[in-house]
Amino acid sequence: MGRTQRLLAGLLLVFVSSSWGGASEANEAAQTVPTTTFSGVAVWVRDETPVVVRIDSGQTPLGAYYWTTVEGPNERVTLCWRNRCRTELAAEQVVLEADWDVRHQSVPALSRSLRELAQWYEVTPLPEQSWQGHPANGWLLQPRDAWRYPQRWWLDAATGVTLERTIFDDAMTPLERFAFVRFERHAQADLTEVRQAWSSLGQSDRVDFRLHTVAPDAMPWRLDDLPPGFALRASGWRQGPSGSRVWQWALSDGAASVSLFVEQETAPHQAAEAETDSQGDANSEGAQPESAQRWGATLIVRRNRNGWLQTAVGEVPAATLHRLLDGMRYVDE
Amino acid sequence: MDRLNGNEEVLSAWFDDEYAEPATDLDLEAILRDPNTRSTWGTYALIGAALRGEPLATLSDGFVAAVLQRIAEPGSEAPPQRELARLADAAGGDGTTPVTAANDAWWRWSAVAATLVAVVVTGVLALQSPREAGVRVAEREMALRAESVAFAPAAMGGQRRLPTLPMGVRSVVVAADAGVQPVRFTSAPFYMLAHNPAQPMGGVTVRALATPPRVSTNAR
Repeated sequence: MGRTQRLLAGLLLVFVSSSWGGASEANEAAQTVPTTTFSGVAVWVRDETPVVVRIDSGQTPLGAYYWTTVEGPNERVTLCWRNRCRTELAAEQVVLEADWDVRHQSVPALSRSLRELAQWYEVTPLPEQSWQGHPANGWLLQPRDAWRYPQRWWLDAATGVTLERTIFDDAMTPLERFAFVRFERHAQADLTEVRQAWSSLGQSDRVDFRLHTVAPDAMPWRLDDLPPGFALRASGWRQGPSGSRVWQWALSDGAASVSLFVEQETAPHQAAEAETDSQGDANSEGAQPESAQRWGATLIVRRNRNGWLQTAVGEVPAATLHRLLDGMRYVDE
Repeated sequence: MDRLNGNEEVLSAWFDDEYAEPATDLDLEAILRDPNTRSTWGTYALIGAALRGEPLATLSDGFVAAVLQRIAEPGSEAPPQRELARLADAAGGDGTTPVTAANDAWWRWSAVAATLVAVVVTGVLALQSPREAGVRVAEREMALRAESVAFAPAAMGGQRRLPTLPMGVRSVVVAADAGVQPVRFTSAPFYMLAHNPAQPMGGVTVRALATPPRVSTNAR
């Protein structure tokens, strides 16, 4: 297969891959059901700990299912059935009343075509390779600016499912890697098995984890300065751990994603995670104590801005998160 | 992007069974002298031995010592000797003597667990450098290891899992910029989950979400 053919095939596959999820609620079934089903074992390497994950994604006559099994000290099972996700931890079960969307399944996915990505990344096809016996197409995405990290993607040639994604830092040192080490396409769990799995999780604490969609213009803050290539994919609010409303903006350039969160500060937050002396208007300049945590390629940066906690999370350089946070402007609820 | 040096090429070829010439002590010495490939070699050799059910002592003492010495060098992560010794002890050895019950499944898994320590400590060091061949080998070995792990999700009514793997999950706290306060956010799981729902997050649980507010309890 020639390079052009591979590129065209890849474009098609990425399109298929990116079309798994939709945003409208009009046709839930059509949008939450993956176009392909698969089963496999993947390894996440973040920081120092490889995490082995069993992943199954499938479709039954009653809806889509998806589950992951994480092995390790925090071993857990997460099972999503239709648009509910249930997580079993060692001593408790939690039902996340989430709007499950296959775009957010654990397998990373490109959400833009290579043609679009080529605006922000130099896209280099990699020599065709067999991955666990499956022909795979690979691309190296090298950023054209400083707002994103280099990435390497390997997609199953037949389904477009991501078989491997590695995020590098500027020195091409891997920050994190997701890779299927066993992959079977068109695999479906038995419906009875899925039902048993769902019911076997037993009694659960339920947490409302839905993103209540809100139009960008109706959000209390505006994003005035998006780094090139990053576009808003969703906005709304969730109920936060403290019960307060947490506003969220989800952005992506197609390969890297960022989430911005804003919430009114609460006392526990003040004591445990942030401090501020500044008062007054939310937009006023002043000391903005900042803290950060990194996990693999994911960086969390938090600022206190006059009674508001701003949190940025993303697989991007710190400068990108800073730019986004700097560009936030308070309007009003 | 090919940044392999000669030793790494040899190393890669060996593990890909593409090295035409027999491995000699000179080859081994050359690799062990190369700080860039030493830990990589040690990791893969230990992984392979463990997955094949071979006693770890089939590796020469000098070789293992060299690997462990490399791991313990200043600047390396926490030395794994204690973990290896503990695991070897759990598997019937004392960390310095051969594991003789390699055919027993439990012992074999313990060996895999011990291997995992090597992966955690030295493999990641190898993974953190852009050596494509090394990465390729690592992935292959990861595949072997993962395929060897008996997946038995409790929710699927599976068998009891293996002895818990000694993976010290921890996130690294870093300063994003000058003047930034590195902090472990107690609410980080919420943001991570909201950033990417249903994403497997080893080391970050959603336990915090089980605390109030509860919309309802005992929901089915």
